[in-house]
Amino acid sequence: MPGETPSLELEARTTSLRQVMDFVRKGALEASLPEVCVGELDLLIEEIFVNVCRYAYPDGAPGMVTVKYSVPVPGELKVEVADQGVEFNPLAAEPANTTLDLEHRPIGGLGIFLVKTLAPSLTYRREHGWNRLTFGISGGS
Amino acid sequence: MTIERRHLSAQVVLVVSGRMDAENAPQFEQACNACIAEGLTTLVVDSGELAYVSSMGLRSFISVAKTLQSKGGALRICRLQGLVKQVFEITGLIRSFPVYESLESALSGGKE
Repeated sequence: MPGETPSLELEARTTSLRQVMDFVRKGALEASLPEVCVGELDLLIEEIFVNVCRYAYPDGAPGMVTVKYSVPVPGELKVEVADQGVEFNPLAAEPANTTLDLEHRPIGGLGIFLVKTLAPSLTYRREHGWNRLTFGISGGS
Repeated sequence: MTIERRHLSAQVVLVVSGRMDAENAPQFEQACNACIAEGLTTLVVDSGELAYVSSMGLRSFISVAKTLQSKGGALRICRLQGLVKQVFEITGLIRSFPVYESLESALSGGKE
C-alpha cells in the first residue's frame, strides 16, 4: 500500500542477516523490482547491516537496529537502516584503493566502498543520537 | 553455499556454489586453510556456480590469497559470473588475483 513503511527492529547480530534480507526482499516484491536488482539489494543491505553489527556498538551487548522500507512509486524501493550506536557517516569514509596488489591490500574495508559504488542514491543523517542511512534502488538503475 | 573439493591434474580445485555472505564466508576460509595445513601452496577456486559474494566473502578470498602468496603459491580463481564478477571488478580484485576464464586455464596457470 503506498505510503506504508513496514519496519523490522532487531538486535545488531550478524546471525540475523538472513532475517533482514528476507524482510527487505518483501519490499523488492512489493516494488516489483526485477530479479536482477535483488542480488544488488541483498548486497547493499548485507554490507550496511553487517557494518552496524560490527562497529556501531563496540562495548558490551549489541544494541538495536531498525530497518524500514517504502515503495514511493512502483518500481522503486527505499530502505532505511537506523541505529543508536557510534556516529558513523559512510559517505565521509575514505575510498578504498582498488589498484593495490594483493600484498599491499588490507583484508577489509571494501563493504562501504561497495555500498557507495552500487547504491544509486545514498543519504546519511545523524539525528537525536541515531545514525540513519537511506538508499534507493529502482528497476531502471 | 556448498564447497566441493576435487583433485584435477594433481591440483586441488574447490568448487564453490551458491551464496557466500557474512554468515558462511568463514566456512570457505576454513576449507582453504585445511588445504594449506596439508601443505598445498596453490589452490584453484571454481566460482562458476557462485551467485553472490559480499565483502566478508572478499575478506576470506584476500586472507587466503595472502597466506598462499607468503608461501610462494597463489589462489587462482576461475569462471567468475554475474554479480560476483561485478563485485570483483568494482573492487579491482579482478586485477589483484590471478583470474581465469576457464578451469583448464586456471589449472595450467598460464597468463590470461
